[in-house]
Amino acid sequence: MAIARSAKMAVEECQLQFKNRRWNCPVFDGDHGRSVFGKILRKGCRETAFIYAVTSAALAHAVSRSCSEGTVYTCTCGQRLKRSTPASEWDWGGCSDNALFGHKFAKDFIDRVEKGRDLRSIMNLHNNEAGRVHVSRKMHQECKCHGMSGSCTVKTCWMRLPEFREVGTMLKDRFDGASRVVQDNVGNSRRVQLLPSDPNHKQPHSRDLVYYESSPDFCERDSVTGFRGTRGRLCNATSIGLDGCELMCCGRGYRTETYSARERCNCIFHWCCEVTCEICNRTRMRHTCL
Amino acid sequence: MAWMDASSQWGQDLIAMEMEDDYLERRYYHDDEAESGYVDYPDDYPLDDDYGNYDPYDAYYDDEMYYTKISASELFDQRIVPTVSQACQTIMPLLGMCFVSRITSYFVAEVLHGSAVGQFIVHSTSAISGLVALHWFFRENLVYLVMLGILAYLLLFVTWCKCRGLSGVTVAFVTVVYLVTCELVVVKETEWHQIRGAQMILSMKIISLGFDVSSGAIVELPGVIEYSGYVFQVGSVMFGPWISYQQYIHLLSSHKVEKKLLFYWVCKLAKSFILSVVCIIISTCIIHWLVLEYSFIWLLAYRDAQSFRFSHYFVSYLSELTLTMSGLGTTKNNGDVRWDVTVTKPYHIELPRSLVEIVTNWNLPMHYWLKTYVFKTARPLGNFIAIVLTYAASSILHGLNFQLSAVLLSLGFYSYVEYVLRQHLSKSFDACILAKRCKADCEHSYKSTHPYVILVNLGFGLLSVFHLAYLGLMFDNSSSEEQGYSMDHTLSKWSELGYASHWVALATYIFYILI
Repeated sequence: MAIARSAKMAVEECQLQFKNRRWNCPVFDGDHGRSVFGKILRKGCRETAFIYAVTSAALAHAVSRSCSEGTVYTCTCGQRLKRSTPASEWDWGGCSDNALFGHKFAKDFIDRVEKGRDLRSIMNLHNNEAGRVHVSRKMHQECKCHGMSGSCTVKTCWMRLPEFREVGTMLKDRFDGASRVVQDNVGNSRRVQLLPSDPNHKQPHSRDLVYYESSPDFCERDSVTGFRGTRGRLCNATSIGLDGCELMCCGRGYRTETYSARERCNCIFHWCCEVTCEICNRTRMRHTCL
Repeated sequence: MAWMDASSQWGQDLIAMEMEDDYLERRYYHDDEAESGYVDYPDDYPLDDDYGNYDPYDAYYDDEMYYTKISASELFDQRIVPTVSQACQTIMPLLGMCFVSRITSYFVAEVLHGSAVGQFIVHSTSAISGLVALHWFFRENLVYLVMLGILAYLLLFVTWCKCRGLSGVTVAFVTVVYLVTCELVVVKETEWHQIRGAQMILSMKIISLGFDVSSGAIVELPGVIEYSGYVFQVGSVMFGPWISYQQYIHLLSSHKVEKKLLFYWVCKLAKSFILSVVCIIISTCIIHWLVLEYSFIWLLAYRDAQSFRFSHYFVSYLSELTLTMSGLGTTKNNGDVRWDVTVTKPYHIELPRSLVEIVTNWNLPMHYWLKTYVFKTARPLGNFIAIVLTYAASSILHGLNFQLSAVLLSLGFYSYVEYVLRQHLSKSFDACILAKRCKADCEHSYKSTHPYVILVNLGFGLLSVFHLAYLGLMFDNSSSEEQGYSMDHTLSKWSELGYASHWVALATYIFYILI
């Protein structure tokens, strides 16, 4: 169940993070390149990198959480308190393995598919790992001290898994700063390394997203990625950002239409505790790309 | 992305589940690696936080957290269960030691009938079990406590021989010097913060013994064994409460154990235990669950302060538990023995009448100690000096960190202002609106039941709640908690609230001067 939930979580997060971009993380029902995200997975661009990272992170997150909920029976959230060292150094037994278990599970489960030694497999493996690392690194311990007048005689601790929204936001930032890589052909063949395509850049970190192909502009219908283009997308006429009509519609222009919406209005609070509203018809504007 | 293919059509949960089961079976039931259960990280996997200045985003991420309420079952699994089990695992050995001490004193009283050998056994058991408990909690840091104990006994012995009248003052002075040196020079911050509570109890015991010797309340200087039995008495060595030497000596006169008394003893134990568990759950889990981050700032202040208060109640009930377990904490009333040691009264703190009431009920034994050994001793020097000294003693015992001193000083000022203002008002209106509750037969014409009196008292009570939220909010469980809080932390927390409570207190004081 954790796996199904994680796939759903990944899609939701992806769509939320990309809702204001031309490529808005569309999902497909039918047999569309044999995957929900469509043919874009066959590319090696930033968007591909993000999808791999976010699905892998979602799986790690969902499994870690189910671990502490006790719904996955192979990981134990044992209450063993490791007290190897003096009492001042507290180790949390509890559920700290969960992040590791989730990490490992997601690794085995997703990375299994990437058997190749080509750049694409290496890139996918790297991005999968980047997604998981964001989850397990954000799993952190919180403690509280107890003792006479605020001293710290006894300490109680618990683990806290990050909200998946937080992970998604971080991955989106990584997306914006993703590094373009090339395959390192020198050296031994057993371990393929990724090198930045611009030699002046740093070696990509394990938390960075990597890609090797430029993204298409996603303006028009594209049979390679299976993207429908931005025709008919809603845009923001006043914004100069990516969600603004200028950029979103790739300069093709946009259509403005008015429509009436039924909304609650004139709400009054009655003591206590009831709110009564009227229903009003308001005229709203909508812009869609041509 | 083979697995994504399988779940490409939503609603195919079944397939996913089958995959999961199949996968788990293959992976974890026929695999040697299953035992280790850990990730085999690649060599370059950054397990350490050592990124240098690599990532400029990290600080930014940490600030931008998203908080949503977790479900009640998650709260139970992830917070309450671990918290309670950790707390229990930690205190069980202490309770065990207390029980050993209790059983020993009981058998000695039954079998040896208070002979010299019996007394020796009782005192040494008390001291040894106390030291074992200290070692369990503090390991080698217990040395600072033992050193203070030895030092104080030497002083007591010398002053006893030479000049009895100065015992109290000498011991008090040396203890203060010792505490200050330890805190500022010798001991590491984190370690000091850990042993501070126990050190405080020990200092209180030593100083009270010194003054009792001076005043002649204790006729004979206790021997080494009695002394160590007292200062390391297992039931009070860790979390308190402070007990006087006279109370400790009761351990010897273990009363005949009647069935009824045993029943009350068990009742008291159960009551303290349940209350302490409830308080720790409220303190660490419930409050932070109810009020989420990014709520209204005063609500957050109230939450953090309340979490701190409940942590204090936890420790207080725990101290009642340990003291009762070790067989102390009885009062005799007309030959009627009761197990009724009370350390704190949460009711009077959560719904206070005045700040004075809060201060008194925060820690009753400590309040008694300050009143008897500091305030009353210093009274001949004048009321004002006595108050200053009491404040200073309390500050030093609590540790010399800025935060606690600032809180105590503010609290002192607030309660003084409140006390004089309410006294003045009470006189002018002839009503029961004093900081302390009126006695049943007071001479005011407006009694406590008068509607206006109730209203005024309620107003002052709310004012106290406001002050208390403001004063307690920086005992949040931020990262600096283990070392004690810094001055910056305190001031930043207060400036977030615009020093509101200080202004209110100042305004109250000006109002008092004007009328």
